[in-house]
Amino acid sequence: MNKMNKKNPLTHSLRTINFAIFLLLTHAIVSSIKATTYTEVTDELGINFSHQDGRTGEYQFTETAGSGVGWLDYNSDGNIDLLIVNGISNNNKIYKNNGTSFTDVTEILLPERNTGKGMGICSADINQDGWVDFLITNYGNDFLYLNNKGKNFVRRNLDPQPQPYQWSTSCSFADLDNDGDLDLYVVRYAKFLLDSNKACQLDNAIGYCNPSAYEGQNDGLYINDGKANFTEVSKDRGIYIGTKDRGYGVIISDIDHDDDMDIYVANDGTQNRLYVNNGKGFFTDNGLYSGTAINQNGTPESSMGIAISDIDRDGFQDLFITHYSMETNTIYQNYGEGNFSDMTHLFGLNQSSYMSMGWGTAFADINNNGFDDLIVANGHIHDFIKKTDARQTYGQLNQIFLNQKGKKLVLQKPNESFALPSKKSSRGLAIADWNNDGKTDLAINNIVDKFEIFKNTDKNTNNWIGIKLIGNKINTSAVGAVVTLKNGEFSQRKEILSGTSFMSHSDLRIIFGLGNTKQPVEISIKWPDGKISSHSIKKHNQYHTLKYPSQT
Amino acid sequence: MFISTPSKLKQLIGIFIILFSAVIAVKLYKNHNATSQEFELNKYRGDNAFKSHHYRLAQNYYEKSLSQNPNQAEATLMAAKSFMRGKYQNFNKSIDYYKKYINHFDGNPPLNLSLVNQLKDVGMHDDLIILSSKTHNNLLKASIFEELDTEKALWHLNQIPLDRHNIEYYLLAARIYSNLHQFDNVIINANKAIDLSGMHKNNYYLLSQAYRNIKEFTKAKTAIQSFQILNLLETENNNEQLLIHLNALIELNKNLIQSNDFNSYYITLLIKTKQLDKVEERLSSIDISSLSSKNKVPILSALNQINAIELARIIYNESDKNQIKADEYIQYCQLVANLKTKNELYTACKQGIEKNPHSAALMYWFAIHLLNIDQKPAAYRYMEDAIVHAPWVNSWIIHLAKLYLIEGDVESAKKVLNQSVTNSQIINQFKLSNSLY
Repeated sequence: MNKMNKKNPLTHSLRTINFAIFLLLTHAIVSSIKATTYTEVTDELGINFSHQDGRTGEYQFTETAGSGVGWLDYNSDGNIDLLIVNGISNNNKIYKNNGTSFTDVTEILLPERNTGKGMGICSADINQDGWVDFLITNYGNDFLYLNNKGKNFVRRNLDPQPQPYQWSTSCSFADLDNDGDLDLYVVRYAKFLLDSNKACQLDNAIGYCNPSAYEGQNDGLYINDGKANFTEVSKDRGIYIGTKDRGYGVIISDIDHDDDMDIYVANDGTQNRLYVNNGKGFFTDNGLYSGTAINQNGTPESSMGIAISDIDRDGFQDLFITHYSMETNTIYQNYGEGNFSDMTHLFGLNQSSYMSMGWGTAFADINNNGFDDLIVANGHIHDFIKKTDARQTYGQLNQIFLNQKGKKLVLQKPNESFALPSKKSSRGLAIADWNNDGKTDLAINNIVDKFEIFKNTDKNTNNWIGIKLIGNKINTSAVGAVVTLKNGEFSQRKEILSGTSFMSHSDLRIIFGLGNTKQPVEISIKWPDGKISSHSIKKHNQYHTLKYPSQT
Repeated sequence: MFISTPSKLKQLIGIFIILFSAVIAVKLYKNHNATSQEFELNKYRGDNAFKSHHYRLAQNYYEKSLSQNPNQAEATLMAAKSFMRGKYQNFNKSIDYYKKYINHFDGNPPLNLSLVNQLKDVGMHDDLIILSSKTHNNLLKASIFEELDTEKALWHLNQIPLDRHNIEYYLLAARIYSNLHQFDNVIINANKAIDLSGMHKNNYYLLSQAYRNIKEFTKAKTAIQSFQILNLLETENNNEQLLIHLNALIELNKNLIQSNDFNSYYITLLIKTKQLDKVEERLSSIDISSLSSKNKVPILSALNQINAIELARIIYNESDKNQIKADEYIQYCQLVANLKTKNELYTACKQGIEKNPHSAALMYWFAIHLLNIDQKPAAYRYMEDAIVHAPWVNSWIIHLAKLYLIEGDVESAKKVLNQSVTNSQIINQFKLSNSLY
C-alpha cells in the first residue's frame, strides 16, 4: 500500500510529459479543425474536371490567361449550379447541383458547344423570361447562351462581325443606359495572333512574351434591345478606343452613388479606367481623377481581377485589384463622391501580396462576423519562373485575408485557410453557397490542372441571412439592386452584380453575416429602377426570397 | 673530393635552396601582382561595359574579376546590377550577388538611395532590413521601412535634421505621409519637392490625391494635369511637341522656372530645336554652378550633336569643378576632340582622366584631341589604354590599327587588332583587306 502510494519520480515525470504531449496534440488537432476555413470537396461532389488550353510547348500567349468559372441556378431549383470554362473548344462543362453532389449535364444543356479558347463567363436573365442566361467569352467569337426554361441553352453569336483575333476576357451584364434591361460590357485583352506566335527570350529561359509586346484590343459595350439582341456602341459612348488597354477585369456598379451603373476596368500594365455614367449610358473616364487608375505612387500596375465590397462598412463600395508579382495587390477605398484613396499600406496588404501573382478574387464574409473578408487566387504565368527567380513559384498558395473590423486585412496562415494547402496556378475564382448552409464556398479554375471546389468548413456559429432577389419583369435577376442591412448600430451594403473577379461569375444571391445577433434585422432594397422596398427579417440562418414590389 | 667535403656540399645545397626559394618567391610575387592587376582590369572593363550598356560583357568581366578576387564589394554590387539589365538578364544571379554584397556590406561603397530603391523593386525586403542595421543614414532607413513599417519609416524620417532636407527627403516624406493618410503633411512635402524639382511625375499624383482627400478639388485637378503632362513627356518623341508640353507645365506651375531639373530639360529641348539664342539667354538666367552633373549631361550631349563649343565652354567655366562627374567629362572630351587648339575644355578633359583614370571613353576622346594637336605618341598611348579598358569597341581598335599602318608599323597594327574580344566580321575583314593575318 505504502509502496503503491509512494510516487516514483521517473514514472511521475513520464506521465506528466505524456499528458503534456496529449494536451498539445489535442490542442493542435482541435485548433486545426477549428481554424481551417476551406476544405476541398471536388471529388466527393462528383466533379472531375481538369483545365486544358491545348498547349504544345510553344508558349502561345493565350495560355497565360487560363479560364474562369461561374455559379448560376440554371434550373431555378434553389441549388446553385456550376459552369466551368475550358481553354479549348467544345469543352466547357455544366454541372447540376443535386444538393449534396453534382452531375455533369453538359451534353443535355449545351447541344451547341463553344468554339474558340474559353476565357470567361458572366450571367443574368437577359431576355426577360425569368431564366438565367450566360455569355462565354473566348479567344475567338463570344457566345450568348439563352436558357430554354432550364431544359437546355440555345447558342447565339454575340457579334455578327467580331474583331479579327478577338480575345475577350471578363464580362458583366448591367443596365447601362437606364432603360431597365441588361446591357453588356466585354473586356478585351491583346492583339495576339495565334498562328504567328513567337516565344520570347526571358532572362535565362524561353517563355511567354511580355504583354507589352502586344497592342491592346478595344473593349465592347453592348446595348440590349430587351430581347438579348446586342448592339456594340463603345465608340459612341465614351469608351476608350485605341491600342493601349489590355483589359482583364471588369466590375459594373453604381460607384459614385448617383443612380446609374459605372464601369471599372482593370488593365494589364496601363492605367485602369473608371467609366462614369451620365445616366443615359454615355461614359467619361474618370479613373485618374477618382484615384482608381494607378496606385498611390502614380504607377500603373498589371491589373488582373477585381473584387468590390464595403469593407469598412461606411456605405461606399471599395475596390480591390489583383496584380502581377512584384507589385502589391491594391485596395482603393471609396470615400464618397466617386473619390478613392489607395489604402494598400494601411490595410496591411503590401508584403502579403508582393511576391504572389493575383488573379481571381472576391470579398465574402467567410466567418459571418459582419465584415467581408478577402479571397485571392494566385499563380504565376511562367512555368519556369523558379529558374529565373528562385523566390517565386509557378504554383502558388491561394490566400484568405480576414477583415479586422474594416481596418486591416490580415493574411490567414495557409493551413488555417485551406485544409490541405496546395500550390497551383489559379485563375478564375467564383463564390457561392452551393450547399445552402449560409457559408460562402469557393470554386477555383486552375491552369492545366485539377478544378477545385472548396467547402466552407469554418466552425463559427455566427448567424446569417441569405437574400435572393427576384427583380421586375425586365431584369428578373435584379442585377444592380443594392441591399442594405441594418443590424442595430451598423449597416452593411451589398450589390447584386454580374461577372466580377477574374473572368468569373459568382452566386447572385447574397449572404449577410450577423455575428451573434439574434434580433430581427431591417433590409432595405434599392431596386435597379430606383424603387425602394423595406423588409423586416426575423428568421435568421436561412435564405429569404424578396420580390420586386408590385405596382399595387 | 666532393664526397670528402660534405660541409661544402651542404653549403652548396643550402645556397641552391635559398636561390630556388627566392626565384619562387619572385615568381609568386609577380603572379600575385599580375592577378591583382588582372582582377582590377577586369573590374574596370566591367565598369566601362556597364556604362556603355554592354551588359553581357559587363556580367562576364565582373564575374571574371570576382573569380580572381571574390572579396570586392563594388564588383559584387556591379555584378548584381549588370545581371539585372539587358537581354541576358539573370534574376537569380543578380539576387545572389546582391545578397553577397549585403552580407558583407561594410559601408564601402556606401549605400545610396538608388540602390535601396532597386532592392525594393526586386522584393529584397528582408535583406534590406539587414542593410538598415548597417547604416546610420536615416533617409535610407526611412526608405527601407517605407513599405515594411510606415510608423518606423516616419520615425527615421523625423530624425533627419532640417539642413539635410533635400529633394529625396521631401519625395520620401510625401510618400510616407501619404501611406499614413496625413494629407496636410503630404501637401507640404510634395510642394517642397516641386519647388526643388518639378519633374517628379509621381509626386504630382501624390499631391493631387492629398488635395482630393481634403476636398481641394481645383488644386487636385491642377496637380493631376501636371502629372498628365509629365506622362506625355515620357511617350512623346517630337521635340517641338515636347517644348509645348513643357510650356504648358510652366503655365500650371510658374515656380518651375527655378527648378534645375526643369531647366535642364528645357534647355536641352531648346538646343535640339536649334533655338540657340534662347539657350544663351536661358543659361545666363540660371545659376549654372548649382546644376548637377546629371542636369548638365543632357545639355552638353545636345550641344555635342551640333558641335556648339562656345556654349559648352560657358557651362564648364561656370561649373563647380569639384562636382563634375565622369559622364560630364566625357561630354567635354567629345566636344574638344576635334579641335585643333587647346582651350578650357582640354583642361576639363585632362582633369576628367586624372579623376577617372580607368574611363575608356575619356581616354579615347582625349587621344583624338591629342592627335589633332599633334601629340601622336601620347595620343597612341591613350588610345591603347582605352582599348585595353574596352577591348570590344572595334571602331577604336580599327582606328588605332589604321594609324599604325599609316606609320608602317604592321606588328603594332596586328597586335591591336588581336585585342578585340568580339572577333567581329569588321575586324576580320579589316585584317583580310590589309593582309594582317
